[in-house]
Amino acid sequence: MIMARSKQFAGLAVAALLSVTAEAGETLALRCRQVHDGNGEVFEPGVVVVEDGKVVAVGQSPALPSAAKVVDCGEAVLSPGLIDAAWQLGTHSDVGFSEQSSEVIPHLHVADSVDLHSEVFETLAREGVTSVYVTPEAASVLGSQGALLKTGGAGISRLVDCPPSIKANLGPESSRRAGWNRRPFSNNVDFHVRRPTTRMGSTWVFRKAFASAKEYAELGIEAVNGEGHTEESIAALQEVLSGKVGLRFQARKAHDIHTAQRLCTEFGLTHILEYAQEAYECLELLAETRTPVIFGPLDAQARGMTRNFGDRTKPCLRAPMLLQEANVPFCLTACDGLGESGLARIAGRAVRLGMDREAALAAVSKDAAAILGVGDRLGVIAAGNDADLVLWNGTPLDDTSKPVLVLIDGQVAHDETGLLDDES
Amino acid sequence: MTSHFESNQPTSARRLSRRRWLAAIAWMLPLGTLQAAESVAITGGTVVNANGDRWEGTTVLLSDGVIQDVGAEVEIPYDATVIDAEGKTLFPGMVLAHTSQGLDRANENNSVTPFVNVYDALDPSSLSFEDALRAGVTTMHVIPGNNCVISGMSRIVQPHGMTVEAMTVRPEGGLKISISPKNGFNRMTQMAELRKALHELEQHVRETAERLYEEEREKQDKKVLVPPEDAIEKGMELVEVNDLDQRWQTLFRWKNGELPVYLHCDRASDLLRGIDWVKSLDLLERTTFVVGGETHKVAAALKATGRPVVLPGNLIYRETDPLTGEESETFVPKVFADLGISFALQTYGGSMGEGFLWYQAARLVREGIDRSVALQSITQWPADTLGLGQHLGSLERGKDGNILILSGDPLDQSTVVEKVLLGGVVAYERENDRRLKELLTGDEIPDEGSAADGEEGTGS
Repeated sequence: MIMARSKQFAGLAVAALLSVTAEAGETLALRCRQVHDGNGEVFEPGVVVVEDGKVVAVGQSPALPSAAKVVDCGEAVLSPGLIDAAWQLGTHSDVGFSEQSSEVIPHLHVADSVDLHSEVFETLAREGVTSVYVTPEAASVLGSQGALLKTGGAGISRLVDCPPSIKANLGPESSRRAGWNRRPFSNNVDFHVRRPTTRMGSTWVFRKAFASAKEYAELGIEAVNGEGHTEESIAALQEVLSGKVGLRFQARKAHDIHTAQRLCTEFGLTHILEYAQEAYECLELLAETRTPVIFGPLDAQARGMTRNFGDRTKPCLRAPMLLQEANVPFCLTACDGLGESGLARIAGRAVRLGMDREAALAAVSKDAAAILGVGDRLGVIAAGNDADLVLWNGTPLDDTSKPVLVLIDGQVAHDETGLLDDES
Repeated sequence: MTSHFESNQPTSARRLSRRRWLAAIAWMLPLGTLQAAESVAITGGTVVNANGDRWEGTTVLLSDGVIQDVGAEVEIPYDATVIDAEGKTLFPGMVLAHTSQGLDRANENNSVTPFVNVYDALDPSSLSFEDALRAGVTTMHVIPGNNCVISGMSRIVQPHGMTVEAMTVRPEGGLKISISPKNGFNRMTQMAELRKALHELEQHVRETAERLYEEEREKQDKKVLVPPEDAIEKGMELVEVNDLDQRWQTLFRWKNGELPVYLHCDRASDLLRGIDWVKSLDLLERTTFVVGGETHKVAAALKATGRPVVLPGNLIYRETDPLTGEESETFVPKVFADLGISFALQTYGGSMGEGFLWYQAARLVREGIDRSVALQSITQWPADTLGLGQHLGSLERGKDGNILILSGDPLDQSTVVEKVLLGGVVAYERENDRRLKELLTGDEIPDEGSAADGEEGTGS
């Protein structure tokens, strides 16, 4: 496992070097009708100065470096690139994937199966989403580690270093998908099949794995392959126990949210909630424990497995506002939605349902970056941050506007304006 | 729009029977089914009209459910009910020109069913009507789906009322026919089925003609001395729609130019074939085209017909190059708008986003289409498509009092529908929308009596 990670970092370092050489010497000043910085500030008019893939200045009229090429964007409006903190696609052409070898696989890395050439990322960039945390699909109780990556740019440099976390799931995906894990020539799930089939089964798998990891750590001995776990998975869980690796729970229903909290209290862990459709039922708990919530999608109907397996969540369209009012750290995700169900449109819905526009924008940029632990680099247009910028042909997130120019690390990822044609 | 969109008159010059006169009179009866107050004045609001015109501080005066005046200086009768719309935006009720909402299933399994009628399947208690009203739709054309060869009779309704009768705006919208193959058919079998249906209709009409002629002769105590072919020819004049088997009546009326048809043409080739086909039947003037995304490639041919068109709910047409695998996207309304074609938008699945007409219109503006085109495509143009353009679709004197009172501009993100007037009567009030509150909060809101379940009040 350590080998794999160091390779990942080596790749990042090489790529960082490449990107610097590719963009050296270019300074761009984008002048727009407005700049929404993602941190609640709106500059009108606004100027953003970009150099070497980074923002160097932002404001109404910041001092421009002498070499800066000023681009007049007219009536267009600039916002930070959007960030989806729990994205599901991009690992296997255009559908999700699920690793079926075990339900305890925290030592696996989604980064190893991300298809950087998947068209999904091009589409995301076109729709203004510049970074996604590709979260593991929820077929395992203790799933793999996700990966944060830019939706555009060259090769492996798109992977962004972020605090690692593994994904746990207690909902129906890990238990009900048992049916997909039949023995050959058998239609039934029986006791030969390793999968849990209920929430109690899933919880037991979680508890047993962490209890084993804890026991090995306390005894100070190397783990050995055992029932339901391997030495690698135990080592990965021990990193979670020691706080080096975070934990995400996919918990759509309120009782899953409560179970997640119970398990974390039991093992002294902190966690992040993914999707959390019924988080509005547990506002006090979430506010008290300061548990971050990645909420989404914002829909009047339940989607995905939840819907197909009779595990319906009760929708609450004001949920984002309720989380905000209760002071729960949260951001919005589109899960796997593109186009009219994409991240920009989800945030737009929140505005329509009564959320403050800047707060909605922050919920898909700054707050997402903060929950991912990369708030010092992404999510806000500020000096020193990555130049991930979206130019809209109207007010950001409005139904009547769309991204017309998208920059990722200062490089054009999508352009309908022709404003930067000279550069490319 | 040209005037023939408004025409509900049959093109054939057949003599009108007494029954038809009655039907024609019924057709002209006032639309409103709610109890309209004498006069209603909506004061102080900003009118955003179908074509995008914006008038601030405007009063809309209604009487007996019909708009009497729109303007800054309108004299308000002393007994008028006044609705204060200060700071609000008034917009014409939106018109959904093509939907299967409110039907339990969009299509019958059998392929040729001109005898079915949406009337029998409409469920007034369907939540989709409540949702439509909440979203500012005041007129819906409920029509069988596209998965058919010949499907049945549609109905134009307002999304409010306890019974289908109370909801009805027009009992007969038209007939649905599909040129594109239904499930399990290919294009050849589809067209063969269509021809077969028309052939069977003709056979039936001829048999009926012969029978009627013989009966007529018998009544006059005369022997039938002419050969069958002549008897059929002479009997043709005697054939009234009610003489036919009920199975064929709707199709017969359409064939005689007495009913509009909504012709579904999914692909470009289907549209060209569809245009040819209705032309060959001399029925182009009664045809509205319900098209799929690929038809943007032959939009010019559609324009040449001058006939109304309903665009697909999925506004983006995607195509994959079979060799390179390259995907291309076309924003369908853009092609039609660039050619100057008027069109009606429809909704597309979902309970959010594309499920709303205003959202579809906002997407047009997003893609650079003129705002007035976007607004007309959810108001005046769909009304024209339904042949109701003189009654619906804009805020002007003489039109029905279907008015939305919005919190802001119709295409603005944070705008909500605050009140809906149907025929001058308040049919929806957001503050009394119990189900919306539940949806927003996740809590169950107790029923607090009549006002809470959308009963009509005068909104004073």
